Amino acid sequence: MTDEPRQRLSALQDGELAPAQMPALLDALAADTELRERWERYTLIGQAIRGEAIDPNARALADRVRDALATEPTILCPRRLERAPHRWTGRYAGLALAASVLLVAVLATPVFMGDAVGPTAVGPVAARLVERQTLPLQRWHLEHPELASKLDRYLVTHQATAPSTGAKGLLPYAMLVGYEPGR
Amino acid sequence: MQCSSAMNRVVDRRPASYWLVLGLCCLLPLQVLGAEAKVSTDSAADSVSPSVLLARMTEAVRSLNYEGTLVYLHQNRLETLSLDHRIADGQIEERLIALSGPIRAVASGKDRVNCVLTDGQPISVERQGGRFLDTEGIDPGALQDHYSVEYLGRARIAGRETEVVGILPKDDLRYGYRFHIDRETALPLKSDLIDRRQEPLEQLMFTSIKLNAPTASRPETPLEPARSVRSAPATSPSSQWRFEPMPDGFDLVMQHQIDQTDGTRVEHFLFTDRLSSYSIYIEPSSDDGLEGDANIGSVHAAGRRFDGHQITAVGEVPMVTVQAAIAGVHRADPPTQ
Repeated sequence: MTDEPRQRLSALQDGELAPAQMPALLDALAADTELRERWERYTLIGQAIRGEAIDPNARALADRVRDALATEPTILCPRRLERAPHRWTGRYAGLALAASVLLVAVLATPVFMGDAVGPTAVGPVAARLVERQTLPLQRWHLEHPELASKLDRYLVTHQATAPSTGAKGLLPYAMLVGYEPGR
Repeated sequence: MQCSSAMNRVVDRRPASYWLVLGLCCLLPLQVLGAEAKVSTDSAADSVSPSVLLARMTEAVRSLNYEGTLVYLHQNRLETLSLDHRIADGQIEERLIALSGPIRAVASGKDRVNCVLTDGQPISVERQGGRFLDTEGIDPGALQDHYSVEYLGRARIAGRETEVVGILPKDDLRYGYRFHIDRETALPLKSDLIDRRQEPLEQLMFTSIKLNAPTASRPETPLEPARSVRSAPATSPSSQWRFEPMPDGFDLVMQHQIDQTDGTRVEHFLFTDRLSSYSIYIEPSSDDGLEGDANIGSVHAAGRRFDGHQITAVGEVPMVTVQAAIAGVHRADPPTQ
């Protein structure tokens, strides 16, 4: 990735991006996973610097929205399809709509979480989808924090006892800290 | 004479190309022998023997100070980690910090492993029974029943030339590794956890690495000999528990008891096939025991209740292995009088 999209992303984060440059950047965001992940990180850094509450769930939201869209496409906007059958027929229109919803969710989520803005037109859709999906990267995929903590202790004890350094490189330790819980 | 003359005439009539092909065929075995000798010579010269490379890698990890940035790829997700690895007083000390997302860190020293995860209390674990760092490297001979150790070629990582060595699992009960070993320093610049089909499950790679000067306190002698789980003899469980049948290739090599903060005591049993390993924990039944399966990426856990006890297996092995491990747990038969 060149520096230019990153600089524009940073400018967008700061609200300093020229309006004329915005459509191209949003297109790039929709198409580029790495760029979206970078946006998430920038958002997180901004929240940390401003001392705002950080909700780890926010980072998994985009994936959950995407997964939900993939599995339940009818959730999108069935009524609009009925109201405007001529304008919204065709698979390309559906794909474009899905991409737009995803993009809005990605861009809007940190704002909702960080600034505690009340629900808007996107809020209810996102919330409904969240309820249907389990977090894909939750530590141990468990609902009980006590049990997850116990398994964490067991894992650390195991790693501390089992052969690790030298033979397996750093992978065992990377597994400990590399997974970001969804809780 | 006439006959001989006739044969000569027949022979003479054969085209020169016939003799050329025949001659080449005769020379071919010698050529192959020569080529093999040349390859092995090259191997010796370049140290591409996987055993030698793995031994060099192990030695580099336990003798060099370095720090760097790593990327950790799992399930199409990317995390950035910072590593500080140093030898202090003859012991390896490592600190690994997640740079993206919530703060998570693990620091391992001589006696303890300290861990800060986002969702729980800090975890501090004493290295039970002494230090169990592997100081003997990987002995391909000891692994040959369940893995094949192979030289896989060369690749470029973090701008450096590396030799690639694979420890490939022969069945679905264990994972293997693929190391990209720096030609100059022998450090593993990229480590992949792979399954039987050599598909990478997790990948850890340096994007930048900096070698540091040895610390002043480094002793003249190398690391003190430490017990190695990898070479530990298989042992028998001394408690009331038995583990039969075990997943193929795994042996019990260590057992001890852990007193928990809530006053209960957990029995800990460590099993290994000399590379992969899992632990079984047995404690009195409680409400927060694991019944069923759980995992973090390729680390799997399985648990069940049995006879008033909670049995939990945790390890960097496939789910089927931890499931088989807890299925085989039973009490020893009472002594017959």
